[in-house]
Amino acid sequence: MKAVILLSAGIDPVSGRPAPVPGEIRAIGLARELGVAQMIGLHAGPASPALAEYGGYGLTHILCLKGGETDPVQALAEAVKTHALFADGGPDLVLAASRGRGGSDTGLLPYQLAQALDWPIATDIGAPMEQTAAGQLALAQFRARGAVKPVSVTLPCVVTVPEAARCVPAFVFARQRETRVDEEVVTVHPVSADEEAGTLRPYRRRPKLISGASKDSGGGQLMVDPDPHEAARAIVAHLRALGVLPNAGQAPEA
Amino acid sequence: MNAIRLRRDPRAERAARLVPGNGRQRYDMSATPDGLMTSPSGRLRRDPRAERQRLLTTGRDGRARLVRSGLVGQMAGSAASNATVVKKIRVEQPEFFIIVVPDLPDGRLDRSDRQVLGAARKLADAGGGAVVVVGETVDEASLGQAGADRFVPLSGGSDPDARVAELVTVMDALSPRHVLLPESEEGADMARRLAARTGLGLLPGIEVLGPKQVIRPCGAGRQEWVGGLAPLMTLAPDRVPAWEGDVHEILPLEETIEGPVPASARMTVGTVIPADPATMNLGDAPFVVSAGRGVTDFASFHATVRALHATPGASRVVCDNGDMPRSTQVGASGTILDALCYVALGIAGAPQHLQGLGRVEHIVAVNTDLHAAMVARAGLAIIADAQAVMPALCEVLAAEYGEKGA
Repeated sequence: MKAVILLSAGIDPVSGRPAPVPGEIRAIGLARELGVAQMIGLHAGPASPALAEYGGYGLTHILCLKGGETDPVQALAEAVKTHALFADGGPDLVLAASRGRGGSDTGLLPYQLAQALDWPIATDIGAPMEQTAAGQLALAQFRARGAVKPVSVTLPCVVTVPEAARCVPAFVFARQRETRVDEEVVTVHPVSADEEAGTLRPYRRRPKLISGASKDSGGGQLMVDPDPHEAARAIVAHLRALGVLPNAGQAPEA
Repeated sequence: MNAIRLRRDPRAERAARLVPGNGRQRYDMSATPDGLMTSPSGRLRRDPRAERQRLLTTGRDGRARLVRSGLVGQMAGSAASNATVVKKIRVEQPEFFIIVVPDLPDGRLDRSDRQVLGAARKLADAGGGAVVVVGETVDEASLGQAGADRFVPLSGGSDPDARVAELVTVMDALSPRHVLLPESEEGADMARRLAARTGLGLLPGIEVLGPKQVIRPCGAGRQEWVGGLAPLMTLAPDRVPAWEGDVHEILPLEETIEGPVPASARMTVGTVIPADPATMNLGDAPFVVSAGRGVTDFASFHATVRALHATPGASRVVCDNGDMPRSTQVGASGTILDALCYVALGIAGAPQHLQGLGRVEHIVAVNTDLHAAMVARAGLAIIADAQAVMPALCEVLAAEYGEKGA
């Protein structure tokens, strides 16, 4: 299986300096867990030394499409479809981070690329699952509170990886040094999309709405020296009122 | 001073009050002839009879009463209170539509859904628009309360692309000014799929929403983008208040929406598999039961945790003693919890431990010390030995679930 990993010019949220995006590092890890034989990093923009850092995580061949930054979707779709690298068979998988870091951070590009390639897109994939059918990819979609949704998607497809995924590959400095970062000049014809006119300014932290004040800020029910069974029944009734215990009618699963 | 006093014409006034009775003409002295009465000198005249009539209500015991404080409805008795009708706001001829696609987990509007509806209400009320909710089945009373005017049902499928196709047909039929979604997991995914499919502008994760401008973070959270509204927008949680005003009435939609052309599904999404509470990450766990120095019998503790279907936690002392693994430590040097409920067995509540409970909503404490910090923080505090309570808890749970579970 061949995979393309989309790389962005990410920055560190604290220092603001160029840094790898956590989701893209995990995308490399997911590709390795899926047993991808060949991985190529694609970056729509000029080459930069920060990109070589992905090599340390196992992505030792990175291709930069200089001039593609004006319309990255078009540049990346062209590269995935017709680049000389994929002359002996196109990639089966395009992996990307769920959100970039440092640009507009909308997370829209993988969706637009999937639309341009007419491939399905599976999002927030944190781990592979047991593969059942050929031509299909069984993946685990990560949800809040450790829940998982099984996703089955036909190949070829686009997959986005969230920061919550735990498949972080080990960093090897020697691999970073032998990483090949190629640069190619591409010409794209950006559709004159009316760029939403807005201004950028330093982020100002605003207070969130106060969520319904927590009920247990003290001064709750108090039982002094109760009978242990009475105490246990009170705890069970309280937990059931909060909705953390299943009702008496239905037995807890397994 | 006006020397000439204007004179009343009593005959004309009486003639104005003439009403046809049965058989002969009568005078209705209580009726005001035409609106407000002015005297010939131009001064407004009071009508004491009509005023009295307006103040007259039937009291609780059926007697006539005069209520002068203006609280006629509240003073009225049962007969009058039955007649009070809940006034619902109807938006009949909207200038435009705003579509809201809520997540509806378990078929109910959740907190972020209500906030998105509040934002949509704000945008709609600014220009006389109507809020259309598009989603799976949900009871209309809660929708009206949350500020929706119309409801379009969707057939819930497992393929997100099919859902997007359905949404696109709704958008084609209504041509809405804006489509709002919550920036939750499902909402964020749906919004981006819609944006890629339709090519409309998307502004995700909006933190400030006004009628003319929005603010959203970008640039790794170091910058913010300020600009005009987009056709597609998603709202960050807890940024825009939910609708608190009067209930809206859900009216039927005049436009007809035909179903989308069925396409072959390239992706299927299964049902959620919840994480196993015994092994899940402590920081994600919704329900944590923790042991402190008041617990010495750890076999009993593990049995209690299993019976409660909770995630095990521990205080620093217990981890230091080696009774529980370090990964279960709750507190400043362990894990900061994001749980809904926390049961502290034999934990007094050192400040470093309480730091780990920053976001926990409900706490149950079992402790022998009445003056412990954990007891002061708890919603249910039991002053007893945790060692005695744990087996009792196992017995109670076994008695309740035992027959069905086994």
